[in-house]
Amino acid sequence: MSALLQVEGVTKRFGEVTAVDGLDLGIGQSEFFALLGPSGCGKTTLLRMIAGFEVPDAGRILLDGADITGLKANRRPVNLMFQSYALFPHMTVFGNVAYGLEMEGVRGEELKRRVGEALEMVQLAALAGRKPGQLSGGQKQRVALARALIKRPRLLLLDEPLGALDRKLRGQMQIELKRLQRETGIAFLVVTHDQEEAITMADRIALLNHGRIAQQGEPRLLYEQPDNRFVADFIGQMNFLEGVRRAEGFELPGLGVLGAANLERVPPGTAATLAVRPERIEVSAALLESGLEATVQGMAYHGQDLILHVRLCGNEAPLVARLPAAEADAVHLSPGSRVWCRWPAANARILID
Amino acid sequence: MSPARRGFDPVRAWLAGHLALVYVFLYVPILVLVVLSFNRAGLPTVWSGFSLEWYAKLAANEKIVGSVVNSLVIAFSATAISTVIGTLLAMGLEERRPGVATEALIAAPMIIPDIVMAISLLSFYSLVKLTLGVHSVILSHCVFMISFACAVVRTRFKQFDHSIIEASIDLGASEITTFRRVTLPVIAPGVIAAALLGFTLSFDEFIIAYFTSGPGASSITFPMQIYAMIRFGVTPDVNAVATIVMFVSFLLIFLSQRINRGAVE
Repeated sequence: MSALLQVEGVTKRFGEVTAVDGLDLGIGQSEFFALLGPSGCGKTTLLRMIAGFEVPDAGRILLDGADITGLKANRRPVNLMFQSYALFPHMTVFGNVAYGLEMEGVRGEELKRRVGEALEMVQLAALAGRKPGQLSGGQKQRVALARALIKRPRLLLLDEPLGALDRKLRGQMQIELKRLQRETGIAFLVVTHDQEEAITMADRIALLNHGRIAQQGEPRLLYEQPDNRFVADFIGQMNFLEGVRRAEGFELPGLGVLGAANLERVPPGTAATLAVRPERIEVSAALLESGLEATVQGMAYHGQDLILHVRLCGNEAPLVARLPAAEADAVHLSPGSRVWCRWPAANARILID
Repeated sequence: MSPARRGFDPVRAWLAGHLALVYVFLYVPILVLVVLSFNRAGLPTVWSGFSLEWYAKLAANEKIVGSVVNSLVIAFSATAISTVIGTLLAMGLEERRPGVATEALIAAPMIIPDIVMAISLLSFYSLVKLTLGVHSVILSHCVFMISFACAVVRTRFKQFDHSIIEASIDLGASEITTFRRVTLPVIAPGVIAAALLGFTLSFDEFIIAYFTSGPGASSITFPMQIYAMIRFGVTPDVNAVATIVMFVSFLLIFLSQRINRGAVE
């Protein structure tokens, strides 16, 4: 796969703060890529450097192999969909979408036809004469998308594209964005702080922390095999149990020695953390072979799931388990109940930092 | 439903009476002036029938017509200059965000007493040996009108989403095209409001014009002309002039507020 966009050792400082710190990144042709991270992790700064609104202090940005680091924003074959959508309030929907093409000198019938097609693509043809002030949030976003996509950029940058939408609309737009990306074949680079959004939409994710990449790869990789505690904590829910790596396994003080998927990568004697996803934990009111004894602290019904908060007998460590609600009903649990928990060694990972 | 709505409430009645008195105090003199400007006899004491005679007399008075022309030339020129500079100043302030001191310096000409401004400008002009006339009044009016224009245009920037400027550049526009097609149309209501307000301020302005217009009849402005006329008593034609000025000013201020507020909503 030849890289469409290559970010090489890019650094950006604002005064004392290093927003992006020697970052390397590669995005493939027609890829749906997500830059994920908490606020202040540098993801928006990186996006703005790729768009051409910030100049890196060090490093290069290549597009199709050509260095675009010093190229002005209006000369890059890259378009940005702003978080606020940034629609021109004095122009109609048609005027907004046509703007980019007019800058390329497209006029008359061709302009009308292409704007019509773009509005068709986002199902807004009927609203071409409206002003942005007369549109709903979801409609504004579609206009912003059409306005950027009509330029047929090599890469479309989207800054928190679903941030301003309500929950239900967000789900619809996730599917819509995927469809548009597939239909146009344009590579999408989405910046988001919402891990669920990134996991659902992206082909690949780079999780940023303090201006560096904490881990990148396919969503499943980040979810199932987090490299470090930050990744494990940021993506999904995770239980952390402190312990020490011993020759025969991972020792949890007061609980015994357990197995883990990446046991052989950690040298014996290392103090570390065992990470287990709540949905991997099996809970039973009856004694489970090689299970850990625990006391139920509380439970929360979530429709399809039951979230169970327990405290392990032996070291008092809290543990969260997520059980299918149908199964949990049979267990007849209540706060104070004695239960046994266990999980397959393959679903537990040792994290050093 | 408050109990005050039912029956007689002395507090409410007292407040309503008070409000009515304030309005009477403010507007009765103006109303008297307007009515008298249509009084045939021209006496402030006797109503002798409706007439447009005094308005007709105005049009025939060369001194008044000449001063109106001067004032219009001054108001149009100063408005054009100060609106352009004030708008650019507002844009610069929005982008750079300088400290409180700079902001205060820019706003100061709005609150510096006119008499202080007038004296200092006159001293400055004589220092640089500028000949006085219509042009020096234009220059003087620009000094405070720029501040007003800047302040009015900045109210538009309060609701301005700056990412639309970046969006325009992102879509391939140059900075000049962005200004022409995005920034200016969006702030236009503020710019128009600034121009209307500036025009009114300049047209009505007396003290600064009086000091900086120099000697001679050729640069007498309209308010100066009225002042010259009332030194010999308030004549009915002055009433007519004042009525016209008042209505034009009212209209411009009203339009300026309508345009700016309407666009914000």
